[in-house]
Amino acid sequence: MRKKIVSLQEAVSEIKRGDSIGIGGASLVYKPMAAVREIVRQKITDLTVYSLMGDVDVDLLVGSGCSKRICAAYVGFPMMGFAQNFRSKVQNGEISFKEYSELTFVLGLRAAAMGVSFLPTRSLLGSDLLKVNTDFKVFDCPITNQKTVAVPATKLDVALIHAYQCDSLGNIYALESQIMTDLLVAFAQAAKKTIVTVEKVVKGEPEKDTRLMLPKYEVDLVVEAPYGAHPTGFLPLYTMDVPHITEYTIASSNPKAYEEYLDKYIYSVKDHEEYLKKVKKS
Amino acid sequence: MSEYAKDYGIDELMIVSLAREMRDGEKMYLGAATPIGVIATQLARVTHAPNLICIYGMWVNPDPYTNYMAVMADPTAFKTIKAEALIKLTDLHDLWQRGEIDFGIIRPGQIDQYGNINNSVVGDYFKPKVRLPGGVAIGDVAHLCGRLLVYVPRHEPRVFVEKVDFITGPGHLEEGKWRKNLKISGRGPCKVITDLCVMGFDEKSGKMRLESIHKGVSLNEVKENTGFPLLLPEKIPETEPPTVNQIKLIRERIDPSNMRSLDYRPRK
Repeated sequence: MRKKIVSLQEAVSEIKRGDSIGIGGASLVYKPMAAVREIVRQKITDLTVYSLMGDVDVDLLVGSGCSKRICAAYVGFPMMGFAQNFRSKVQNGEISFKEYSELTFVLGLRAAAMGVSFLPTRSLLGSDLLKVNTDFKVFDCPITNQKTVAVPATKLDVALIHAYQCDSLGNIYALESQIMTDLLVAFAQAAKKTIVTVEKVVKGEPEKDTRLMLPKYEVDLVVEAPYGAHPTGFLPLYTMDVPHITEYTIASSNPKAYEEYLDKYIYSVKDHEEYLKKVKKS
Repeated sequence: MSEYAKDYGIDELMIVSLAREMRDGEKMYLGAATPIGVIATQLARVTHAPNLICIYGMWVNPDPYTNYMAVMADPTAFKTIKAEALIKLTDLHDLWQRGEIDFGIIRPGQIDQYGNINNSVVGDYFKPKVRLPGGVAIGDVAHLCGRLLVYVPRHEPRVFVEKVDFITGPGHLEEGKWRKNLKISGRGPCKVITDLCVMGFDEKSGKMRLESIHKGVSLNEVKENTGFPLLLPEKIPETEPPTVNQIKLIRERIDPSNMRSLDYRPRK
C-alpha cells in the first residue's frame, strides 16, 4: 500500500492542471494555506476553485495565474477590504466567478457527499443569482407542487483541508472546540481525492481534547505542516496574522508590489519550513 | 425606570432602535462583521427579551458581558467565550430552511425602495464597474428568516438607490405580492435603521416608508441622502431616544471596548 504521510511537494503534485479543487475553511480561518502556496510554487494552472468564503486563498490562486474560475459565496477580507486580484480580474473579464449563497454552496457539497445529483431548497427563488449561476435549476417539487431550486452536486477532483492532528493510522482529529468541522468533512466527502495538512502527526493515540473528524478511509494523503493555515487562523490554536494580511492586501493593490510579495513568500522559498522561518513562526 | 438619556451617540441610537424590534422568546441569526447587530441583540437579552435565542455564526447565546467580538483579534478570547452551545454549520442551515429563525440582521451594500438588496456588483453583472465581495448568506436569509432587520451606518444615495443593479437578496418583489404567491416563508426586510432615521415598508405597495427621524436631523437631509422618493407619514415623529439604563449597559457592560466604532464613523 502507498505511504499516506508524504511531503507537501509530493501531495500537491497529485493536483493536475484543470482540476476542480475545494478549499476547506471560511473567511480567514482554517484555510490550508501551506498547500495553496505549494500549488502556486508548482505553477499548477487552469484550476477551478471552490471556497465558501474566499480571502487570501482565492486571491493568491487568481493573482498567481493558477485559477481563472472561482466559485464562492463571498471573496474578500471582512472589515479589511477587497480581495484586489479577484476584484480587478472579475471586473476586466480575465476570470469567471460562479456566485453562490452560503446555503446553496454547502448544499452543493452535501449533495456530492451524499451521492445524489442535487439537493432541493426554497432559498434564492427571488434572487438574481438564479439568472447568473445557471447551474441552479428551478422545478416544481413533486411532493409539494411548489417552485423549488435544485442545487446540483459539486463534485470535486481534490479537497484541500487543514486539520489539527493525524494519528499513526491516518485518522484525522479536530480540536474539541474547533468550529465548522462539518464544512471540512463535506469538502472531503465531495472530492475524489482528499489531501489533509495537519498541525502535527502523533505516534499512536491522538491527544486529549480532540475528536475524530475524518476516518482514514476519507483521506488520501496527509502532510505535517505546523502553522499550515498561516496567515489565516486556526482557532483556538492561533488567530489570523493581521499584519501579514495587511501586508498582503497592500501588496495586492499594486502589480509590482504583488510580484515582490509572491517572490518573497513563495517563489524564493523552498518549502513550508523555510516559509515559517520567514514569517517568524519557527 | 425609563428615563431617557440626554447624551447619546448615533451609534447607540441605532443599537437601541434595532433592539426595540426584538421580542422575547424569538430566535435570531447574525453573520460575521456586524458589531452593531451583535450589541443590539445582547442589549435586548439583558433588558426586555431575556429569552431571545441569539446565534452568531455558530455560537448560541454567548455571555452578553464577555466581549464576543474581541475574538476576531485575540485567540485567547476565543477560549473564553461562554456560549450556551456551539452548533454545526449544517445545523444552522437546517434552522433557516425549517423557517425557525424569527429574524436576521444584515448590513447591505445597496438597497432599493422595495427593499431589494445588492451585495454582488455595481453596474452590469458580467462587466461590473465594481465587483463587491458577495452576499454570503444574504440571499438565503432574505428568503428563509421570518423578518429582516436592516441597518446602514451611513445613509447615503449610493446605498439607497432607486433600483439595485443586482438582486442578491429580494425584498418586496411585485409590490410585495411575490412572497405570498410563492409561499416564501421569510417576510423580507421590515425595518431599515440608519444614522438619520428609521424606515419601514408599506404593506400595500411594498415601498419603503419613513417612520421617524433622529434628533437634530431634518427631513431634507433624509431626502437628499435617499436615491428615491420615500413614502412619508402624515406626521413624522422623532426617533425614541435610548434610556439612561440602555446607554449605561452599552457603554459599561456590553461594549466597553467600543467595538461599535468599527461599524460606525460619525459624519464630518
